[in-house]
Amino acid sequence: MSNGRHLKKGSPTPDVPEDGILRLYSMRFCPFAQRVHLVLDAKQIPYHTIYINLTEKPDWLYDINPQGKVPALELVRETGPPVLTESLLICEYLDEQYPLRPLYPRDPLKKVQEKLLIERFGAVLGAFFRASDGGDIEPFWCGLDIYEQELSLRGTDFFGGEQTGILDYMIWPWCERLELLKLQRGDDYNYDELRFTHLTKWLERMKRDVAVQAFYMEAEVQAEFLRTRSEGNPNYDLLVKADV
Amino acid sequence: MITGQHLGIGSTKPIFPDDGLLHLYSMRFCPYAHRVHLVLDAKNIPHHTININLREKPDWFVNNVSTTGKVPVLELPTESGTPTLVESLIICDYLDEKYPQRPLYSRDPLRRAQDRILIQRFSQFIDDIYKLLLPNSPTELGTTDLYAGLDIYEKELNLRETAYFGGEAPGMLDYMIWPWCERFPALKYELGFEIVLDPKRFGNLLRWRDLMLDDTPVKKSYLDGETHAKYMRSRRAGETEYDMLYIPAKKPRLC
Repeated sequence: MSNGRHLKKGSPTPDVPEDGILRLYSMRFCPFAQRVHLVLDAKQIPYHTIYINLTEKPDWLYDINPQGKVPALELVRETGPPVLTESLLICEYLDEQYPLRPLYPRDPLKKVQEKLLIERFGAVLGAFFRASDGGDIEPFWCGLDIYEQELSLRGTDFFGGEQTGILDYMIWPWCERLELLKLQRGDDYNYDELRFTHLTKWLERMKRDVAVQAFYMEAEVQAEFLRTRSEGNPNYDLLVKADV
Repeated sequence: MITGQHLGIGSTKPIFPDDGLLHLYSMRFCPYAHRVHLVLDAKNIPHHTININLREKPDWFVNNVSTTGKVPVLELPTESGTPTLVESLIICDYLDEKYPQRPLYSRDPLRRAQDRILIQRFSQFIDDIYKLLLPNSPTELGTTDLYAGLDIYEKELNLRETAYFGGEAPGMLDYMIWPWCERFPALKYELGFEIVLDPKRFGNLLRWRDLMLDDTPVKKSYLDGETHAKYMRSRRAGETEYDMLYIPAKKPRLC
């Protein structure tokens, strides 16, 4: 299920069983969709993934999700059924609706402080995209300084404490792509392990996390996808094994 | 207190009484700060308001209070370290969780998520409106369906079959979108022509607007279209009149 075909315009509605299980409309290379996969997997919530070709979206997608956005979570057991969009809002809903393995702290002040750090990461991921596109890389490092400092202050293995929490997962997709950045920038890539002593160890711990591993993608594959996209013909199905 | 003087460069950081009340850094005409005022008033949370001159921000504000340099900022003096919260939606979410009286969000996680999505969507609608209001766009207004972004809110009120989005009383969604709805009539003065919502298309929204105008927290911070427009004009002219409404306290007479 982790490497299914991306459905496009003209394809029939997905062949998903009517089993009352959540449906996540996703895209294998999308960091925002990745956030939702991480939360679903960390909390061990069962779901079906329907991958969508974002360049030629299928018509039936708009029937259930009028804005055609990805990620989108279809709550099949509710009347409607309702479809939630916006990665952060989907993740917050999942944490509230499924109380096992809570990712947000319960205390209102601690919770809001996580939200502020997640919100602040918005600027950092913007800097990541610009660096990935060939822009200045320093603003991205400056953005990461804040998280290095925070992790150091907390003195724990993860932002969430002894276990991963919401902040670990919400920023992970761009941290996973550090290797991608290294590939793209070559000699220009100047990640400083001394500047990011805590984040460096955190990166290794995160790579061993079960939820992270479920969606992890090698930098070479990420790079190949982006290359095909910049050439105007994104190859969504790079990871789909050819039928024997 | 809501129309206190806007503190600027050269001012000193106000010293608050040691009364445990929240400190809100605001600006009288800022729609984002407006959201926080509405929530504080709806939940009757006592607080002190300090207005900031956003064109000439005081050093103490930029260096010690607001990591972003923006308002609103909520300072929590009773918490260790006196943390400050930024971002209007995040502040409002915190207030609703910390102060359980008059809950503004539904208890149901699904309804909460749906309301948050609608709040976020409204921000996108506002961005589109701002773009249309840029100096070079007046001619495009005639051809663009300015109101398409509002259809979903009309539809939502219809679906919910309640007076407010929040049910029998305004909830978070009502208050989070209100500041821009209040400023809509000001556009008449800005554009030179009136923007009118068709009652056949927006019957529910128009009824909602009238109910909101009668709501106590709304009335507390309400400013009419002409006042909002006067502020907007002063800003466009490069001479923002933050203290338009400020009436200095009379000096005590010395005998």
